[in-house]
Amino acid sequence: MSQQIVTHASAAVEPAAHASGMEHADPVEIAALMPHFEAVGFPAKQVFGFVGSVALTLLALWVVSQHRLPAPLLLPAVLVSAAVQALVQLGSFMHLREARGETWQIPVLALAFVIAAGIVGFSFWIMTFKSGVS
Amino acid sequence: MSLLGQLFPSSVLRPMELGSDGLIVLTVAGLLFVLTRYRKWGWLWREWITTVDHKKIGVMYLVASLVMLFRGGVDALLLRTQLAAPNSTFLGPEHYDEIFTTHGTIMVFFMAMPLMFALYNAVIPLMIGARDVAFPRLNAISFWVFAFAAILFNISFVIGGSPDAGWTAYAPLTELTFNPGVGENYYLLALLISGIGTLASGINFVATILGMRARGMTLMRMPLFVWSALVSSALILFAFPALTVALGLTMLDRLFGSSFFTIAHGGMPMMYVNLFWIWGHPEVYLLVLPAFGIFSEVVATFSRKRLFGYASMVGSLLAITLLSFGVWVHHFFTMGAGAAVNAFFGVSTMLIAIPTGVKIFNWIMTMWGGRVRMTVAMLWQMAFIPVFVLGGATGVLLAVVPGDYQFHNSYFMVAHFHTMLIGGVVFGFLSGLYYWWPKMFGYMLDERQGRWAFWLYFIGFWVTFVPQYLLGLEGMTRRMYTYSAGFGWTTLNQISTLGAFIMGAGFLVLVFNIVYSMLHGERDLTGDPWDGRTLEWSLPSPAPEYNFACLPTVAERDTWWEAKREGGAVAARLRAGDIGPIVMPKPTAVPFFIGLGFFVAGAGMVFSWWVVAAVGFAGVLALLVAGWFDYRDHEELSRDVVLRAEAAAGRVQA
Amino acid sequence: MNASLEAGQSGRVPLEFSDHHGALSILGFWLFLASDVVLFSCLFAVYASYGMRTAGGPTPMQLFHYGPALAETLLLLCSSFACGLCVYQLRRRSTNGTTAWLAVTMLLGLGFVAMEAHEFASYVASGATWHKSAFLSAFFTLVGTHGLHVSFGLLWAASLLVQLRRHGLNAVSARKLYVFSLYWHFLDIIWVFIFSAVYLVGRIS
Repeated sequence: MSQQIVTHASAAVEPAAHASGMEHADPVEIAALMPHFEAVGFPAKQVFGFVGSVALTLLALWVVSQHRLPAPLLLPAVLVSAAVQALVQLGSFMHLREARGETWQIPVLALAFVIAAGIVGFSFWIMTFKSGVS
Repeated sequence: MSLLGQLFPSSVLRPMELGSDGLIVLTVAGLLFVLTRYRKWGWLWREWITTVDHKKIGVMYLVASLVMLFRGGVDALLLRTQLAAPNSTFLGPEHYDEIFTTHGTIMVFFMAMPLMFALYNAVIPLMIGARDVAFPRLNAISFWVFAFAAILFNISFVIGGSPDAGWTAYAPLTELTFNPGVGENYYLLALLISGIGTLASGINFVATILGMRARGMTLMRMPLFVWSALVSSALILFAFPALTVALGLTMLDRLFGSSFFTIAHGGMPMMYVNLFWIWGHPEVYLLVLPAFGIFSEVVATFSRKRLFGYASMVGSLLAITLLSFGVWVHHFFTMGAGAAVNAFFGVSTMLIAIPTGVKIFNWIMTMWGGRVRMTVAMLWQMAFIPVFVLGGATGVLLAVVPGDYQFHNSYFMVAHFHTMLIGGVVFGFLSGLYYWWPKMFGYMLDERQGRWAFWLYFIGFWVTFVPQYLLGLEGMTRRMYTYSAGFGWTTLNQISTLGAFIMGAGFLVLVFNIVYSMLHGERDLTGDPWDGRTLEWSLPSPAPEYNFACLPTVAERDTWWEAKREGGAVAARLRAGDIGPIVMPKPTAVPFFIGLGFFVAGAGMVFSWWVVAAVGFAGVLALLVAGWFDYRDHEELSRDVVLRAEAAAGRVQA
Repeated sequence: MNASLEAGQSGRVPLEFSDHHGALSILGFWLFLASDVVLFSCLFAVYASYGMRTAGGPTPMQLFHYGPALAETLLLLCSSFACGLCVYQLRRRSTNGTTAWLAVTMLLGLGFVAMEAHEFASYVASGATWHKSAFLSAFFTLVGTHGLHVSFGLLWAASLLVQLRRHGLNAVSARKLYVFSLYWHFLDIIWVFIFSAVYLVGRIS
């Protein structure tokens, strides 16, 4: 620990630095956010996402149009199927784990969905009572 | 309605507005004259309007913010003058409504927000050892969109008429039926447009802080101001969309005939209130958290001690951020959302006092046993603690739902949020301004004058707002334009008005302090006038356009302080061999014209001139699309230029 | 600049991530998407509270039909799938494949927008304007905001086609394409919620 500020020339914003150093050993501080680039083989993930999404869409449609569940369960069932399909598409289409450095998009998006659920749920709770009394 | 009648209704032909017209014309003429006389147009264009340098953008945010502080402050003094005597006829009721609306709107959106962005731009990249923000062009777009939105909002009172439904603009008061005229259109369009700039800034600073930190600067080595900027910018991402929707739906109701808040068609005005505060409460935190960050930097520097409880500071920041999304109903407990809802949000509100208390103790413990230097920046920091504790305590009182039924919409509540926003946000940003001023401009603000400004403002603050707490307890409600002598409120109102003018005097001394110091102030030749702890003080003041000739590597917290202790003055010296060419973003006029396009579009929407609006939007879209095809937005600064600049600053090892 | 454009060629990092600044742009776009999630959640919150407030106008049950809603859903889903294959071709460095699948993505997207415009027009023609009720205001705004996003995406995709022609695949054009794909997939995810919470829930009495 002789000198804390060690200067170095390989400036990260200089594109030239990347051309020479092909290691791309971007530092990753949080192991859970380690990036992973998808392999270039058969696009199996895309096909899985597509087939899964079509299946879930038709399933939800069938359940609602044919009243395949008791009435009080229909709404939760539709919402759950939507959430599952969203997860399927997020996972298979959206390259969630690709990044340089940490995959910050995963916690940021998770937080966004939690806040979104809070906004929809709380607003509904707040507003239905209001409409009940007015 | 004739065009002239639309542009100049009776409300803009009052003596006060006509007088302002005269002053505006004189000021603009004066500016044009000076720019032409001293041949400064080219300089203005090259150095400022087309710049993408975060440091210059920070300066422009600062100037805009101080101008807006002046406008909002004058509004405040007009309000207080009206209330100084019972049955006053200084302002009529409509005039009073307009002025409290513009006061609040300007102070929150066009004073506090840009002051926050001024400080982010001025120091965040320097503190994390980066050469710029992540997206320099987007940063310039953010500024110009904000600036033109501010102009759009500010011309309302002389062209077309001011908004007058309060800064919160609750439906149904803002519906066309109850509020014809263009005032509310100005409010909606200006805030929608400036919201675009704010969101872009939020994205920019989150990406900058997550992706551009110097090697070795792990999350837990970041200065606290960087942490606070990170969470505050994240709050922008998650909170501002709610404001956009609240304002957008009102705009659709007013301009395009939808029925969101029309009760006869099933609309619920309370939905506006709900959406507004989903944004509104996080907004308060996204303003005050950066102030907390500033205090953390200032208190450590001027106590010459490492910040006490760093990890708990970070933890409490995160806790406040998360909690801030679960408390918004406390702004409308009295609208009758029901006992369970109110109880839930009352408790969640009180919880926020815990992490905030943690921070207060940590700041005090940092000073404890330190060698405290009473600079002006430190004075603001110390003054903040009692003020914020008072504001926090009254906040907990307001969170108690049955109590809130008494306090709500009274001057007690007015005094509470001014305590938080002035004592927290304004004190914090002023502390940061005095602290980082030498880094931004290369000279120090005169400390003696700074003390005058501080004491006037600080004393004025208490004289203004303590009487308002008492007035609230005596039953005076907010937004009433006058009162009878028999109510017994006269003396307290007079004291409060006196305090407001003392604060006004403090602002004038601050402006004098800036002008005087610019001409006669001590130059900062060391780059490190306060014996600082973080990376921005390792650079000359002001920092060169590329910030760091060589990007630093960080090995621990307070890295510059540790480097100085171990390496002495040599710590900042660079080896000539380490210096190379640097890729810099190219200056561009596109951001300025995008701002202008939004201004034209906004003005067209305000007056329902659809062709004008279409031209404005088409211009914005065309500039965006043109930008997609621009693959050469960077240029290289040669090694020679960098080396020469660094050698001239005496920063290269022999 | 050329050196960096080729950077990904031999490395383990895909072309669009080869430039550090480009990778940062991708992160920036993820942040925008997170913000857009919240924007749509506010519109969903409004719709959820207004869904039954029809003020004597048409109800969701009367307005919505399975057929058109399913057709729109499948069009957008296929478009999203085509966009996924477009990025797959990008990873294989096939300029022609990328261009072709991008064109398919656009055509399907165009079909979606056309169907939605037709749907809106038929509602308005039957007197169901957004002035009529809070429910219709919320419906048109939620679905319309999504439609505007898709329309903007079509403009974006068109410009990408031109850029691919002009520049081929390099670090910059690859990154732009990748960012567009995130946007496009994201819009399909939002549509999943619209299909479920608006069209399907509207048919539950």
